[in-house]
Amino acid sequence: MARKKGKKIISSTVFYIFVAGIATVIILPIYFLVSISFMSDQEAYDWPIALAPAFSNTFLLQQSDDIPGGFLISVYSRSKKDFSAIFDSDDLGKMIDFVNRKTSSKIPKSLLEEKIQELNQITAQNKAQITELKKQLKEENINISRLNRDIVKAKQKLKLIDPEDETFREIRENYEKQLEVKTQEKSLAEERIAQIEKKLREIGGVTFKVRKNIFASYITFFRVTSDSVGALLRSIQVALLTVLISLSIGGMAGYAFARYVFKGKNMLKLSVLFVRMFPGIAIAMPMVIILAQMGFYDKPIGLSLVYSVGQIGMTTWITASIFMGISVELKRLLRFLVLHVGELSLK
Amino acid sequence: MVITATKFKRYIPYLLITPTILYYAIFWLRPVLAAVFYSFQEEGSSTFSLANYKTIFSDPFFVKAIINTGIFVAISVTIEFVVALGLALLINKKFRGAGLFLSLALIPMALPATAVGAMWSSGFATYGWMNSLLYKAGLIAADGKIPFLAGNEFQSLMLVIIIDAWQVIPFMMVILLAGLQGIPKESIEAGYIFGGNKPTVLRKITMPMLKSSIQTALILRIISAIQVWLIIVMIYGYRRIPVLLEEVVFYKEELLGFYRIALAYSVIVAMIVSIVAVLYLKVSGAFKKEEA
Repeated sequence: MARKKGKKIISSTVFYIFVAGIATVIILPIYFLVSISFMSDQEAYDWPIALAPAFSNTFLLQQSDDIPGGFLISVYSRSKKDFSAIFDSDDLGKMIDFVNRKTSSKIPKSLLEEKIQELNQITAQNKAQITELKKQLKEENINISRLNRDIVKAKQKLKLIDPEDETFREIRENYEKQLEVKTQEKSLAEERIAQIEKKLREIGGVTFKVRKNIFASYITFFRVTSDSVGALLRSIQVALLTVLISLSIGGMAGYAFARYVFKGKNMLKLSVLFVRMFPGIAIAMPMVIILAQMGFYDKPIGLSLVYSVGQIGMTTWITASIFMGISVELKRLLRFLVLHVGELSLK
Repeated sequence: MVITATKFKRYIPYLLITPTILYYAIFWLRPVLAAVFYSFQEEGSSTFSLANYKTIFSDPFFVKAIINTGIFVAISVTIEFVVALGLALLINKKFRGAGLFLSLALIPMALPATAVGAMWSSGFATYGWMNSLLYKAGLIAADGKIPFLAGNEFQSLMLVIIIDAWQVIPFMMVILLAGLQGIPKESIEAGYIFGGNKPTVLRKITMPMLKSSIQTALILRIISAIQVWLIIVMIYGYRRIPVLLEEVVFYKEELLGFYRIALAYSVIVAMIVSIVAVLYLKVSGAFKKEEA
């Protein structure tokens, strides 16, 4: 008995995991569509893309190297686990606008000014160290570009040499070794650069968090799309009219199908299919003319009339099955009444 | 008095279906006849000509479109039906949360094709969420991103089939599940009592009783599978993977002055669809059953 119960629990667990698996496959793409719609530009183009949208952004403010008196602002990327530079300017208004577009975070001007003051203090304190680190960074960058040149050169040479040819074997091996050494050196230099940058951030940068507007994309949509509210209302209007037309006309036919036997019933049932066989796009143009003659062109009712063509057939099938269902239930009810009340006489 | 009443009763069904017939005549038959009529006239002239059809038959994309559509219909309908039937048979019991699950299953079909296209083209992009998910699950390396959308024509078609299956399988499963739950328990139990094992009961009782559900699901599916186009255009644009209806839309929307060729194309598509549908109905015996 206990074993049987255990078996039942296992099988029902497996069943639920299976159902949950199917549900996940159905939901996952929809989830990502919704999740990405709440992301900022910067998040949406990050890779690997985050599983959920963030509610705030962390910024890093540094003094600009290229623009004297300007500032460089970077945002933290959760995917790269590092800051990535987004804007370099001495115009604070422009910076706020650009950052807002890119990350959906509107930095208050007072906060930015406060942080700039903080930054100026820090950089003044660590001035000697910062200049030293920047000098190191410059050297490393020059080093990297030299290494890159060497790597490209070695690769080109290797391409020219036939790998099967034994006469150039020594030269080829020489180049291969060179390539390996340079690549190694490059990765080491990159590591050093990362370390220097990290240190620079600590002593020459200020970080701060700003709330993100997760509805930014939606707000932009309704601002950019002219007449979006009107379009939404019209869609609802068209949908309601389509339901009304196809339900009243198709419902009548469905009732006939469910309750009566008549000639041509079979043909009519299949006509539902035939209507779907002719591509809707092809009848669009003649349809425009017909609707224009009726005065329905460019109106929601015209669109509903077109949509109803495909829907009436389906409605007929569905309502027919519903009407049949009602009759069965009614019969049961009547039988119950006959048996238990005994007063109703039925044919 | 009695005679008139019964006479009147005989006309009731015809009265009830008259609105439908009238509606079809005005809003379907008339435009279709107009489309067929104009498909036999060259653009800007009003004399009978087969030029539009000749143009289509000499278009190299026509053959490609036929082949692609054929592959799409054959593979997608088969996979979708088999998987949906399997799932329906496995899920066919009463369980907690069944209502929620069934309404979830109907969501993909209710989504507009543009949303489905956006969802999957952002998913299958090289830097999209599909690769991100695979990477996070540890299935691919950071530099091993799969370029889903960069495949050849056949691979691209398979991708479209997968996306289409995601949309259609849950819907088909619900239709088949509804059919399965309409089968009286007694008949299945009787099968077991008379010594049938699971496969026998499935083959001899469940499947025959499910036949009309299967027929409905399949015929509607075949008709709409032949007319697939929007999802392909949403993901790949025009003429990357030509299919029949995509060509119709291409001629109508993307080129100017080719409207009548699009009409002729539609007539051809309609012919193909009706031939396939009638063949299917003949083979599956829908005509016979209805007349009996």
